[in-house]
Amino acid sequence: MSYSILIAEDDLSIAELMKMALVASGYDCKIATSGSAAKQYIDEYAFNLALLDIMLRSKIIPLFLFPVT
Amino acid sequence: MFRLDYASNISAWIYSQKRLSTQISLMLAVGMLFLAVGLLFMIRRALNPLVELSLQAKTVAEGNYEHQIEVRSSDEIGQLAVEFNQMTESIRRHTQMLQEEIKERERFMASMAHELKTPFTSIMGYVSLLKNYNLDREETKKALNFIDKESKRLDEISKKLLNLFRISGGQGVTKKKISVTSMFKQLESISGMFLAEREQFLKLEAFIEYIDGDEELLMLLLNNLVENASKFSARGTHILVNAYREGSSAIFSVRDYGCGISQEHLDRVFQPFFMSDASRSKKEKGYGLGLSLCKAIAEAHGGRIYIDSHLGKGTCVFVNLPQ
Repeated sequence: MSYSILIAEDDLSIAELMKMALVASGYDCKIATSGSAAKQYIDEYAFNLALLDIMLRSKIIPLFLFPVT
Repeated sequence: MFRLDYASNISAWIYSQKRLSTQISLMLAVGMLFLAVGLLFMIRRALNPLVELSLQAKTVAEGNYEHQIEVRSSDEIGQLAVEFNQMTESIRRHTQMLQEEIKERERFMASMAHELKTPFTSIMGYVSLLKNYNLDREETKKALNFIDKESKRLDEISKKLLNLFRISGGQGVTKKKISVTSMFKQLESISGMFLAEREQFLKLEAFIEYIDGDEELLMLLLNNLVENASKFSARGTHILVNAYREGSSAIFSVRDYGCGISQEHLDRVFQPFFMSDASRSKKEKGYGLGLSLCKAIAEAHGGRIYIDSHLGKGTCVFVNLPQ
């Protein structure tokens, strides 16, 4: 099973870039372009790693309380 | 022949004369002494403010503009002290203004570097992706599209920056008589496309026929304001553009019925690269340069720009151009 990564980044071109590189390296990726989208993904999926845009951190840091498998 | 011999003892008289002269000399000496002391005191007193002034000048030279000299008299020296205080105050204000300007420039440079860096990061990333990975056809196309989009973004930012620099530098304003009706016609055709996308429309009302100004720049200004108004209004709403006279000025007003700007953001909206909501503005393709550009254009015409906005009710931007 491949590891899954959440990319929280509001700049779509950067988010897609990270996704392409990570997928090409064999990871599963999901993109969230807002804090609320990130929350939704976290509720639905189990991620091994979350990459967070520093500008979105105020919206996302409370979500750090989610379980990382 | 008669002869009168008179003899008298005058030693007492001589003695009293001598005493008198000693007394007079003594009194003169004491008087002179008093006069000298008095003069010295008066000179000291007169020069004291000058000494203080000289000390203050040294303090100012060292860069301390806060201290003020106490003005004790209304004579020429007192006047000099008042003027010196005024000069210090004026230097303090100018220095403060310059410091604020430097800070603003630094902020501007930092924002500019950030705004240019983001597209570059993305372009360089996609290029390295294309170089190092075997992407399939679809992904290659996607990567190229992003490179294309981000290069256009860079191009757009540099164009806006160049305009901003050119206009803020006070170059390139060529004033002539422009017909407001023809400006409004141009505005309709330029903004028609993006307004149609959002099902919005313009309401144009001209209460004046002509204005003096640089047509190209004023069109850029109006188009920017209409574009902003459109971005922050709901689909299907209208944007009201008026041109009228107020005293000796011509006023353009662009009113929308959109989301409005909060009071805390109102002062900062003219700062280059300021965006009230960074993530939303990215989606709306904003750079935070539009209003800075509008301000520079209004100021290059000797005019000013100001905003009246209420959250949830809409925004009205006024451009006042002295004629």
